[in-house]
Amino acid sequence: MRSIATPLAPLVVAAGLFAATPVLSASAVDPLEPTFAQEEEAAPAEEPALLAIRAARLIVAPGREIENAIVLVRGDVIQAVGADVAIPEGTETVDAPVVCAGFVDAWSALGLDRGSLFDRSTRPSTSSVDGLEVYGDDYLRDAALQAGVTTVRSQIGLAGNVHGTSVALRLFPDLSDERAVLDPDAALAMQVLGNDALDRIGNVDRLLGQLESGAAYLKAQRKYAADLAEWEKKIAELEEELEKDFKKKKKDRDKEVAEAEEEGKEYKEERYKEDKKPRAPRFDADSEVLGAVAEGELPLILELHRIPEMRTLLRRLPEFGRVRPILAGVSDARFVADELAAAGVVVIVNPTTQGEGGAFGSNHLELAADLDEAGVEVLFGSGGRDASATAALPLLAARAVAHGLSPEKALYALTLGPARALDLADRIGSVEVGKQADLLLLSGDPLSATTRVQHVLIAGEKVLSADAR
Amino acid sequence: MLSTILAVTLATAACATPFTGESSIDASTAQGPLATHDARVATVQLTTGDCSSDFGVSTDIGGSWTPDGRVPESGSALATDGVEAAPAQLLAIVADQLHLPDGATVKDGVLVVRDGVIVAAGEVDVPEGARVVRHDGHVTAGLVAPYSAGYLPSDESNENTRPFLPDGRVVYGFDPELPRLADALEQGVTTIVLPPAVSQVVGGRTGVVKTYGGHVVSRGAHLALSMGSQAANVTRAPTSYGGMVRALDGLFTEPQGAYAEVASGNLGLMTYVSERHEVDRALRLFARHGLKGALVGPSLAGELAERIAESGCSVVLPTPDLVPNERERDAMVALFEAKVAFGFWLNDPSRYRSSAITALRAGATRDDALNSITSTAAKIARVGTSVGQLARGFDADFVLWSGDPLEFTTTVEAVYVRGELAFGGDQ
Repeated sequence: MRSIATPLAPLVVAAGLFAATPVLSASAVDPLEPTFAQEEEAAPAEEPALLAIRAARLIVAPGREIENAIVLVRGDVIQAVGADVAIPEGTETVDAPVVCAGFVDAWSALGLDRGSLFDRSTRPSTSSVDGLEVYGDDYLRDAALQAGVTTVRSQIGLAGNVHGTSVALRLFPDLSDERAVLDPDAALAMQVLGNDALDRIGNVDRLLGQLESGAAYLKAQRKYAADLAEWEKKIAELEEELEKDFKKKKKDRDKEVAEAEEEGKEYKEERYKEDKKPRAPRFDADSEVLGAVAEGELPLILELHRIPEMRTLLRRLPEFGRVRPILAGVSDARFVADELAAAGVVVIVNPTTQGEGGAFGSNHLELAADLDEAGVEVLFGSGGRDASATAALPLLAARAVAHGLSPEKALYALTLGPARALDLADRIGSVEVGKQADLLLLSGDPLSATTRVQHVLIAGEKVLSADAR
Repeated sequence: MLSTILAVTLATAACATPFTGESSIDASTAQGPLATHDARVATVQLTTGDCSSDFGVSTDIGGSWTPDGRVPESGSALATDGVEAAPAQLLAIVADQLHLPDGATVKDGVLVVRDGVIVAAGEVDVPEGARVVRHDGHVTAGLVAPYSAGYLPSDESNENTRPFLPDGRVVYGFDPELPRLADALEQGVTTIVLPPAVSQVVGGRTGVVKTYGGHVVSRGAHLALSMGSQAANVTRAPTSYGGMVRALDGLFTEPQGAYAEVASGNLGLMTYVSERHEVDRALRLFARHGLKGALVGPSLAGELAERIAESGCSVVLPTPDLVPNERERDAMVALFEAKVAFGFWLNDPSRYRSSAITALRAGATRDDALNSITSTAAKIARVGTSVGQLARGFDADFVLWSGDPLEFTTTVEAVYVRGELAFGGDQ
């Protein structure tokens, strides 16, 4: 996909992606410019400032903790992590009882224009980046930051079954900051909703049918690429031959022309099959995306809740060996938990309660724990419809702990889990060297009700400080 | 059954409540769901809530009820009385953290229970012969909800035809087998107030019931008013706020009956108001007639916190969002600062404890937050002398938590109602 990123060049990625977005591209850096390489060679005076964070308890990643640790941040990147890291003299230093990676809401509505959010005309290639509303809802983003959420996956087009691609967004106070878009195509999102089970089953088949046609398109494109290469090789060979025996060939041809004239026949030029250049299949942006999903280059996020559609999907998934499905919602999934685990499916659970039956099934607070126990990888998301719900996600995650999920798994579902599932783990999701400094400085345990966020860092910048409130 | 009636009458007579006559109704209709329990239940229901000025027999004795309904002489708290029935079983809970009424938390605290009543709580010895339950976590009183929505059969909460029904009793609509009661119990809620429909200006008497065992704590704790827009109706009078206030002004000057009981303080008052102007209207009505009670439902009540504090009213807030918006949070903080007694609605039981945690996060003290769903809630429900606290004489309703009850991550491990394991636990 156009979003494929190199681990050490998030800026390049963000800038490159914005180049595709006319409105925001004005200030974009040339994506081909190797900015980081240049910085390394730059004079020390131009090096980004250092920031040292002293953490009484550092949660490197869920289950990996260091006491009395130091995190050294250079510019936007984590440069060193450990208990015995030396802080260079004169470095700005911040202390915090607990430090962990910023939370990720894998299923949010933050940052998007309301009209686009419920658009019904989106297609697979519609990008949520184009639905960004960079000026609105700043108070909701502020509330999300206060709750420790630094990254969201937001999705437009919820009124249709195929939503388009999701944007992974960092909650900079100014969303027009080009570093805000971490990935403009984090996944392709679809839904299977409705009150009629047969309709829903039919929709699963239709959506999978689209993936099939995407795969076929990709196959055709690849065949074309191969044919073209072969043709070009052949042409080159012939040209070479022609060059070598030009005189003989010309003589032969002249002779043939003369003979034809003698016999009063028209001379027919011999036609080679190599004259036929392979025809390119028509470019189709939708099929490009669907093909990438079918090939597993891009995850597929599918919202569904009830058993008939889950079973239909699970039955047909083996046909799509490379697809990386992430199922969102999955209210009734406890009945198929073992099958989901066997299929290696990742789920996004909204850890709240919903009504019984209907299109949404019945979500229970034990859902996350039940699925985790069955071996399903669980992520958390706030449901993708209400932009204000993101701020409550960490509290809801804590409630999932009250209903059986281990605190480690809950933290994983808020940090490294979604980062991995959305191919962002090279940049965010844990406090490790080389990753972006998207960090929370907390007064206490991340899942405690009384813990206050003291500072939030995104790309090494303090975007929220409790004392500034 | 005759002896039951006698006991009931004896107990209530001492309280001089106007409901003595109803005891026979209750006992003689002993085929309904309310009467599936023993005589003790009938005794309890008539001896607590209706005599709010005094402790009922269920609350201030160390003894037990006997099968013949006789209330034994109070003696040594732990003495058995030589009754022919099975000897009173002592239950002792040893908790890592025991929450006592004054906000103190006792490490390795002991709660001693006999016959459904707490006989000792705090740093006391485990009595000999007691069945001991050790709990490696916190123990609090069972949660009390001063106002519940949706805990009656659905048609009970839609009454729209009779706007004034002062002598109606919601408790007659109580269905102890309603599945939602079990949901509430599983979240640690042991006592709830059943209110009448908000579409009635005067809906009658609230009932206070337990979520387990069909126990009725009070058959008429408050007179319930609704001064919300729902009570003004186009199909019958009153059709406006003006008509509603005029009617109430007339009724509260009546020399006898429910309204006079409220005015004299013998009967509680619970008033549903959701908008700020409705709170204002209610406070003016109360001031004219010298009334006070619980204001139920105004999420922005805090913006009138000073006036509410002056009126002596308490407030029952609707379930706040996990992350309330700034205005709601400011309103809550104003209530805390004005020292207004507050509690929360119960609708989604899984969110009930969250309300107290939200209050804590907004700036309430730990005590106020926990009390808002226990002792303060019980006082608002006018059963504050029998439930909501771990103290001698109170009903043995308590919750065994996996940790701090004011953390989202904490789980309910067991719930006891009147000393009986009602949910969870291993025993």
